[in-house]
Amino acid sequence: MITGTHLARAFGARMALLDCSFEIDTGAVFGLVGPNGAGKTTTLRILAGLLQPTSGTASVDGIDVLANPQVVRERVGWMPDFFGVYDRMTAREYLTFYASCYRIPRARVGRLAADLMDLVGLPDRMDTPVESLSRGMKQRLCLARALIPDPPVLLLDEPASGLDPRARVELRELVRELQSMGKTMVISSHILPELAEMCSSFGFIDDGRMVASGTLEELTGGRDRTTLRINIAADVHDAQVALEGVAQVIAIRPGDGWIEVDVHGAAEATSAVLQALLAAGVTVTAVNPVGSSLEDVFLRVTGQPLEQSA
Amino acid sequence: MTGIASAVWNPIIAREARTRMRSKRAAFILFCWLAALGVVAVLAYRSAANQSQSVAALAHSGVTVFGALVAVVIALVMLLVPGLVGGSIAGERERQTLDLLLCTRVRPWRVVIGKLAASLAFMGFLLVASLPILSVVALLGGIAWGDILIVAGLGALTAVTIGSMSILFSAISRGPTGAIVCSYVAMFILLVAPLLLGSYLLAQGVGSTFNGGVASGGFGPGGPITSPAILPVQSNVPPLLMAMSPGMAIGSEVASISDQNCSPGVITRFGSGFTSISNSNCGGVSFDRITSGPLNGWHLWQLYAAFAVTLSTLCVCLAIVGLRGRVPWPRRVGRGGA
Repeated sequence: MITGTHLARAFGARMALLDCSFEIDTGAVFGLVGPNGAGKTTTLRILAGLLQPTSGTASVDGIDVLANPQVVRERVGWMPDFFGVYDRMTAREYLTFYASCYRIPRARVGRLAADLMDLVGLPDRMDTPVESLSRGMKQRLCLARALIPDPPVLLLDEPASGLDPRARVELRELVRELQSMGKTMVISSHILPELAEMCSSFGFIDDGRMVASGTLEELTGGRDRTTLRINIAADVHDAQVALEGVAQVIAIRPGDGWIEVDVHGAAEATSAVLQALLAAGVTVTAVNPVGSSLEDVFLRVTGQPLEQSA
Repeated sequence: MTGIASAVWNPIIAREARTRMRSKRAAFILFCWLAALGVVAVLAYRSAANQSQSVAALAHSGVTVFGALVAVVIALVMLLVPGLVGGSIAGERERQTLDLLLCTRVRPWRVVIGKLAASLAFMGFLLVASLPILSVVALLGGIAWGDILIVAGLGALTAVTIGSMSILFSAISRGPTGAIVCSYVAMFILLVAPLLLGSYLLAQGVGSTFNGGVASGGFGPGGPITSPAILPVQSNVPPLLMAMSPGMAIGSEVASISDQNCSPGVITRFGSGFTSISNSNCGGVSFDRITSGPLNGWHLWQLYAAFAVTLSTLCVCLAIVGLRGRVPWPRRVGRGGA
């Protein structure tokens, strides 16, 4: 279990973290959500044993981060948002170097490096110079580096930033695989749809404060609300009338050639809305979910959308 | 790996050595280093040979070439070490790999020692590569192996001292540029300030031993030289100050080697036929030994060695403390980093 209790951290006169408390169960994938500058990285660096909090306490796997930061650092795999690689090294040498830094016996290093590269999907890049890898490949290599000591906890700071869509999908699959291996993960991001698909619980951090945390169900209070944007090739008024009788519909906002509909639920509600529109003879050209439940929660707890906060 | 080997093994040295030698910069530095030494050796030998009127005088050219090579090696060391070491830890910080390193089981002292040793190992590699040129001195003769070892040791100590100052700036600076600039400034101060201050005190009459414009004090490593220029040193402050400069310490040692060739002691190396060399080639008297007080009899190079070891140890310790402050440690509340 990972805990943080009233964590605060000041950098000079600026408070990067004001009051951050949370509990993360063992084996959970915890999404740390918040705009840029909210305190996500500071929180993760404290948990990684790389930063001393100004006040408050934190523990990882029952080990006090303040009392035993070195022990914590060895039990945590840390993948920062921005990181560099050493030039003029192959991926194999890169992992071998860090393995020797972790004092992994030399006899095990070769096999370990190969296994890790296989795990992160780069088995054929062992002898590729690190500096020539793409951003996504470097991210995965960095994840492989973080996994060298086989840590029970992984702290991933904005792991998907700068990745192309394919690399993001691969990262999601990798996170799922790591979760199946029993790793507890804390993943920070300000891209909510990405987190929604990877995480089992969430913490919303804004202006240095943890404003809400829990599973999606806990955060939404059992409500599962979705907004659909429907493009129609007909009179918007007809569509509005057709949807007024649908039970799952909460609110309708007409636009020019489209309507936005807030509904309870996701799949069933979408189906019901489409059936109602088709029954009324309204031609639908596209249906897209707008935002996510996570965004609604963030909006509710912070009073502003994530994009504006950032 | 055994327990002892594991304790001694520093992965940073291995990585640095490997990646540094793969860079074009390393090959360029090696080329420039050897070219500079080669050119200086040839010029110094030709100059000495042209000025020598006899075979006996030609034997003294070994000292001239040695002096010139030592000067260029020390100059190159001073030019290269701050650049090599100054950017080492600060470069890791700028490249954002330092945190990744400190997350591992590598302790800050190992990072500092590893970075310093790796950079100095490159300097050692340059010195080894220049052995063929330096061996010219042995071929020419006139220099005892003991003297060569002392000067080589002083050169190595100078590299370690400048490297230690540079690693301190590297550990506490935010970026490599600032660290390298500070390292060069510190190196320049170390080289020049003691000489300027010592000279100023001498000019003010503190420990003044000038006699007709020739600095006296006249002591060679073999003992006082019976020269009419010798006057007792009245204060040890100027020589103590001057001893802190590597230029003065190494220069005085090289000069004393030259003086040895002027003294009767050199005859045993070249035979009685070379007696005339000394008086024809040697004019001034070196200023290389303390003559009173608790340090009476100490050579300037010995004082410099003691000072350099102290300064290096202090700088390395401060660098470790500076790096430890970057992340929290159990026994000490760290400052942390943003």
